[in-house]
Amino acid sequence: MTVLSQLTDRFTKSSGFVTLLRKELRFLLRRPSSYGIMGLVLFIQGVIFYYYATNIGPEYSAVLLETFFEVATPMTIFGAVLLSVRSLSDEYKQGSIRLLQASPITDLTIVLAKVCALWFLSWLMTLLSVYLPAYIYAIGQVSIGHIVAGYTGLCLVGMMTVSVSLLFSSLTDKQFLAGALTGAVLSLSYLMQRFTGLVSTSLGDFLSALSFKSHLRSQYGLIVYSDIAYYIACVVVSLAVATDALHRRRLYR
Amino acid sequence: MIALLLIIAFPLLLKFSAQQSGYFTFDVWVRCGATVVILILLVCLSLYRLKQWRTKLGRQSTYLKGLAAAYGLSISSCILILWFHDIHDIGRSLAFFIYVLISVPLACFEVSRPTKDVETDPKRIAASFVRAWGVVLSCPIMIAMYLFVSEHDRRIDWSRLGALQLSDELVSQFESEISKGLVVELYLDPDYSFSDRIGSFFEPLHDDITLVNVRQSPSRAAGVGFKMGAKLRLVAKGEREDQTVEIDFPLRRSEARDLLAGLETRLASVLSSYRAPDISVIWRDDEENRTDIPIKERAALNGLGHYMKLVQQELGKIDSTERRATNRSLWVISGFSNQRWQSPQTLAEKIIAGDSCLITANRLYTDMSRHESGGTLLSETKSLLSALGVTVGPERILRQPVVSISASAADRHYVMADIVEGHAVTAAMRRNLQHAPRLLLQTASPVKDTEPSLDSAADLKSRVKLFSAAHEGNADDAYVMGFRFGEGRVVVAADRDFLSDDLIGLESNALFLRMSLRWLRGVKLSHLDQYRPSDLRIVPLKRSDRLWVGLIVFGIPLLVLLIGAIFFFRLNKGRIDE
Repeated sequence: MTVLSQLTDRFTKSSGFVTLLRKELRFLLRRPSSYGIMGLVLFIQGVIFYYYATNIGPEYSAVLLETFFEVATPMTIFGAVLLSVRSLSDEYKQGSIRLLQASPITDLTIVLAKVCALWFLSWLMTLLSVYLPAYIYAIGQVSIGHIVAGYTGLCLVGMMTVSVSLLFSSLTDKQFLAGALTGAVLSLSYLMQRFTGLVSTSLGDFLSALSFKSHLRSQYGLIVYSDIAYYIACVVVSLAVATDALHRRRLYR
Repeated sequence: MIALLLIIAFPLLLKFSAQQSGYFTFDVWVRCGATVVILILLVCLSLYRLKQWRTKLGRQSTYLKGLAAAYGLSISSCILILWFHDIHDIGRSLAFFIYVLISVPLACFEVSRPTKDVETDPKRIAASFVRAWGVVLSCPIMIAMYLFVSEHDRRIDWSRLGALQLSDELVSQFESEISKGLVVELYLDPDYSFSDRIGSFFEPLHDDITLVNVRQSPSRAAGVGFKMGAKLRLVAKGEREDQTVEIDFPLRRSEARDLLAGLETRLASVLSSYRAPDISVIWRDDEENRTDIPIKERAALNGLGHYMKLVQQELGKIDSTERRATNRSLWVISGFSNQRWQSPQTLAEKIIAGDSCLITANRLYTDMSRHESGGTLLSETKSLLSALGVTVGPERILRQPVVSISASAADRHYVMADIVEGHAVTAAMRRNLQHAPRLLLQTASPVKDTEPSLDSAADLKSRVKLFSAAHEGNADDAYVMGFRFGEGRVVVAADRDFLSDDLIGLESNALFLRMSLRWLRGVKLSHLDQYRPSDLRIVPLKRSDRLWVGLIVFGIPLLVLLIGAIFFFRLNKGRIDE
């Protein structure tokens, strides 16, 4: 453990990871648009929740909680895309990426610092909505475990969205294009599960495995290992490609 | 060049291995073709990009060429891994892994060679390759990790009711129901992929349950295996170990298709009158070992009648007193297309022959005039009615009642039960069901010579009563009402997903299945207690609560926006001060 901690310390201090992470966090938390996005997402969630709570029913508390997580998933994606789409493309546009790359910081460190800061912000945005499940918990009969499982899933979805968004952000200096591509890819991944009934069983399994809609079982209170593995795989691949894209820019600029 | 060689080699390797394993079908050809198209597209894309890069980057394009090839191979590997991950055939699996083993070193070679020509710092280019290969390998590694975890998947249920997991108590309740000598024929739709739990639940009780898995049915295979030439093995087992009949049928493509068109139906109708706990139909394409019966002779047998006689002779040795007193079956159906499989036909014949069935089908309710896929629903319902031997009239007949389930006997009741909690009982459905008229049924479609003859006494056509099991205002009672008419012979439960892994753990669904099993066993259900759910219904909100809930729901986002506004003004103030 000592060796591991020493290695970790060495990485975090010598690579400038912590410094860059602090800078990114400071930037994101002082940016007014971050709060605007979070407020907008919470507001839309609140409107939908209030509509359900007053117009739909009668419904069980467990079903209402599942409905909340179903609604919160696309909202998390929406918010995470808006939060993260500027990250690298903005650096390209303003030319500040050259300053970063001129420093002894590696591309991997840049990507990791940025993505960690964005993960933190997306988790913050997700967890700020906890008052809605808390209300269901207070007057219904749901378990805390169900809420925890649901939020675990939302945090994983947020992580995946941020990573994919960072990937597209690393490929272009146009924010809108990066956001549109992220939205398109995630929408396609979400909708892919709907096509499984139209094709053969094996092809349907294939599409279902690709679709993240098949990996949203946490909203029912389930923690499924394969779902976690899916999100981790998406995150790792996205970050690897983003790092490579950044490196290519450095090499061939 | 290497990519082209791989493109050519892979399907050939696949074909060879598949032939060795005896499992090469039309489906595989389709997959191979699609894979080749994907690979060609990838190569074309890489070449196109290469052309673009070459103009800008000069000799560095050789590096990019290699990188593009590596990416292409990586992506194609990922697609292939995912595409074939569900196969269990050793031959094809080996072919795939051999392909990957060959392609990766070739890709390495393809990428490493251009590095010698690149006029940049060798250290930098080496580091870039490490990163590039990290990316290239990350995709297959991550997918392999995902597949590995999926194979050894585990679930942790943190919901209060354990809604998605069968509790031990529930399992013991199911077992106690089934251990009383239940005989159930479970027909699984070939597309029904959520039956793992149900299937595994019935598996240990195999001796007591007749399981006909349509995935292995000849009619399913007719679209795939018969194009390649197939062998059909018909296995019929009696109660004792030695009461087993196995007959292999050599089949050729076009001849086999017609010959087998009604096999499942015939087989079921012949064998259902016997106490045969296990009927399975297995087809293979092993032509070398086929029984040498000339095709002409087989054609003259007019649809396997000869073989049916053989089966009947063998089964005749079983004591006829062992015939079942009741013949009830559970059907899980998702589509009603006769072109895909023969279950609606079989179902119709069973109903007309006097069997009792619990049919769980999806999308049979819904207000068809409003539903976005009303056309599909309409055609499915028409197909169902057609399968039940009813000539479908004008569409207005179908629009008034939600489902016009019908069959032959005038004195039998037909019940539609809605059991999916929450979303299944729509207002439109309740309205439609409550005002559903007694349907006037038309005569059945004419019986063709090739179809098995039906019992004319039971083949009555007249007015049939349709009872609604959906209850206004409280969907939980639906399952009880579904069996209020316990003498009903056909119970249609929509949506069929109540049997799925995700919903069977819900209290009302589990109870419905228990009651279904009892009903299938012939137990009267009137004494069953009312179901009392343990969860609370908390919406719609009371009027008195709406104000403070609204304040919280909208107040907190406004608070967050306020914090953002403060930062905005502080930022602007700082800029102005500067």
